Amino acid sequence: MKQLFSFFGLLVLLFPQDVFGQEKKLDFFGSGRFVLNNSALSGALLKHDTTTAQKQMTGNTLFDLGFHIRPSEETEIKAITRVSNDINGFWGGGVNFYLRELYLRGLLFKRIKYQVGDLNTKMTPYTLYNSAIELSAHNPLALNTVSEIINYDKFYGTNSWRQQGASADFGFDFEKYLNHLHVSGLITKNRQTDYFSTPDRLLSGLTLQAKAFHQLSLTYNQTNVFDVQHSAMFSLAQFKNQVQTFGLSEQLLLSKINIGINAEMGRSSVSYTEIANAPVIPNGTFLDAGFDVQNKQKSWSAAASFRSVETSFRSMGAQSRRVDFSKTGLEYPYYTNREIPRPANMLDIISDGSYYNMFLSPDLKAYNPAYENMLPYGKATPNRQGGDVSLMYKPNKSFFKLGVDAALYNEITGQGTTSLRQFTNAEAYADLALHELYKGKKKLQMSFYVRSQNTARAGLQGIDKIDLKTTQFKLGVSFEIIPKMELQIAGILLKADGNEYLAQRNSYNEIIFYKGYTAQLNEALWIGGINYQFSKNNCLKIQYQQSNWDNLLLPDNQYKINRFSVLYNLFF
Amino acid sequence: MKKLFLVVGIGTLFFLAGCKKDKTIEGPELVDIFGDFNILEPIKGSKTTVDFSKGETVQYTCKLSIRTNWTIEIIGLNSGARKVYTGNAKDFVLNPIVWDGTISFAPFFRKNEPCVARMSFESYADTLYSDTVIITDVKPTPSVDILFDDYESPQRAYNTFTEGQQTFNGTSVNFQGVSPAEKTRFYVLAGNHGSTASLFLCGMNLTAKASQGTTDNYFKFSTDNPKKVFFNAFIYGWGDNKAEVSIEFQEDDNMDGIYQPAEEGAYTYRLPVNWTGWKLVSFSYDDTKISTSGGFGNSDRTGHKDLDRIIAAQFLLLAQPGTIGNTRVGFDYCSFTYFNPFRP
Repeated sequence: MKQLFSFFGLLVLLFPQDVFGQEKKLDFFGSGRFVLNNSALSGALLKHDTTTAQKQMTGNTLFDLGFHIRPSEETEIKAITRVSNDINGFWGGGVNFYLRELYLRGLLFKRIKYQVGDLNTKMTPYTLYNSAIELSAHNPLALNTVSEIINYDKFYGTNSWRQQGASADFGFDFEKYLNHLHVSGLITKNRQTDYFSTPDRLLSGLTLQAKAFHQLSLTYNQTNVFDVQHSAMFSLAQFKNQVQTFGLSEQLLLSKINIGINAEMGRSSVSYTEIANAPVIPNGTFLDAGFDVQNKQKSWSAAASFRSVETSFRSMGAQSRRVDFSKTGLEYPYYTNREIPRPANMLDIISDGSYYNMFLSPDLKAYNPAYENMLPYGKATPNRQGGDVSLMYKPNKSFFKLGVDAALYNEITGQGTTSLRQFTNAEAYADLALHELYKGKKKLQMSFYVRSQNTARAGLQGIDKIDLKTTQFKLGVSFEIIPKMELQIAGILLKADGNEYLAQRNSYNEIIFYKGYTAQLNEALWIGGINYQFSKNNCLKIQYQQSNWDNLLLPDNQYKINRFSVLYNLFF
Repeated sequence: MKKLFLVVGIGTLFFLAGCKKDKTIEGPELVDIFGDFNILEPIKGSKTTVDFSKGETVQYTCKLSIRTNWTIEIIGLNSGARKVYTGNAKDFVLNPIVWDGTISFAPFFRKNEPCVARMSFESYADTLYSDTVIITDVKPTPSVDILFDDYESPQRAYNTFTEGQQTFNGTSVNFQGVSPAEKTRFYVLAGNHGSTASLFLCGMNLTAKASQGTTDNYFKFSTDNPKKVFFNAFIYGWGDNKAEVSIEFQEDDNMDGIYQPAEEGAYTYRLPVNWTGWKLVSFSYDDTKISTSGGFGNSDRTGHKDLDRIIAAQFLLLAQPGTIGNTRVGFDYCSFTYFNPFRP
């Protein structure tokens, strides 16, 4: 705390004369938020659960204050502080005050861009990438503020991972054939040593991008995650994970149709040294190639891609998951008289940041097949090969936008059997601006989304047969009552029916056991409320939310959470 | 158009190059885990008597038809002590479970105590029992680096305190039929609180001088690195889900031999007691947080944790928010260890 005060003291003392006196050398930004959730638990669970409190109130207030300081034309400092106070913290008991973000960036020799401190790191979907997976697609408007808040709080930004370290990039322009060569690199600290047995872990990344003929782009990407030997007193153990990829993209214009071609291929290696009995992990490769086409008016587009990711492909930067199902949430974290952790439901995943992870992990973390089973680690999911196609149609000046996506994948290596899983996924969505249809003055918008994902394995031994069907349906309605004030209604229904086997892995990501998974799960989330939009980045949401979790195979655990929620959010 | 053909050609090559099928199997075979469950050889111990004081061990073996999650609990039939092993091996005749007399859950095993191994399965209702093994002598209590208190000396200068209508109990033996975790005595903090009472119920403070029985005001740690020093305590919970414990270390920052709560720091570790029975709780000094009570250790003169200035440790019984009525908590065998938590 003293360090923080010292830091701000320095800011105030050092910069006023140079900074406050000159325009645009200092600007302020930030966010403010108030969240109050008052929840009540009901359902069959309470017939047998006498330990869980039935009502809970959670929430907090917080304020972020950020500074952009430009001491010179070529240097910028960004710092954000956060003061937060939990609803349960009275008289300062729950107050947290900390530095949320700090970096310095600038230009060296008028050519090299650099940044030190906090970095939002992102490369390609196979090297360093933060994939949005569970329940993130086409959510209704009633949920947009909570997902914005989670992305803001966890620094997910545009599929990036927040790291601390340094980055630099620079480029060269050429006149013939090769138009531009761009080099960017980063090095970040991924893990802090405990000084005994856990060494420091660093991540380095390099991208070389060459643009030629004004339409062709060739890239080389490399990431290295490695433990720093001698940084822990009692361990010389070292984990290394290297991924190298080559990418190609080309933009063509044929008969007034834009055609984009993208491909990336590469290999990974993992090694463990100075660790007794550590296995030798084979190298893994992947290949991803596809194209997209779009007419000049952008009223329709289509895309198709094929990818194959080998079973042994490991990329810590790309396979780390956002949602960590081993975490417990803020509301009703434990249930039943055995007080077991309550598994995350849809309401938790959509609204509770406690389940979200901010760290790169060397493990292939567990996931819930009811929410996602085909690509639980994003495009870099190992042991998958198949393709996707997607179509989008949005005529100019029309009131609707329609789209369909389909995917068909299968495993490359059987898990526990030679029989392979097959995955099919079909999605369709529609966004309707109905007020444009009947020329109404008040906005009326509706959105629909439906997804069907099936996992099947024929099985050769009877017990290895898998048949899991999941369906998601999302509905959103938004009606403008008066200017700036909307009635928002959202419904999300999920059904998961069938069986699966969930792989349990050791610390080397080797499968050592399986856990049988069976479900006849019906989940429903209904939300209704008012949204008052003070300005583009400033809103008040008052909502009533109802979540029902019912697995027919566990009838005693059926529960419903009714929640009254107030959310005020401001970005400035 | 030529470009398009080129693109399609390259795409086809990529597709053909990417199609793969691996005939190997990843992970163990499913039939080895989800096949028919049979007990091929029941669980049995290698001895009928064992003298752990001489370093003897008991080896347990069993053979199953499949790999499945199991738990083996070796239970002291007089003390209730338990040693727990979990695994999913199907045949541990060649690699048996080797029990050396240690415990997983307090209390410790007793001399001349009969013990039995109980094997249960996560996915099957079967429960297997071994023959009884008699402990002719127990394993010596594992050493700790600094024994804070084993509560075997009731005459020690415990400073106890409470407020208002709350009540507390001092050192007790076999409190409400509970056996100590170690030897014959343990310490109980108990209190009663109403809906309008504060969360604090009662507390006990023991100085480093009293703990060590010397004239030294402070503990003599071999390191001042907070990450390397662990505090360990056996804590008994009555399963009422009403109690919280706060363990507080008071630092005499100016080393004048007197702890001034308004000026000198106190570092606390707080946890709810939501279990029934004894549980070993361990945390590093680095895990403690500076007190948030105004005027009670929330201001640290040195600005950081100073192991070499810990003058006393304080144990507080707090009520969990929203609860009322009687609650209590027991402490036994509190210690400091270096590098790792205490492993009895």
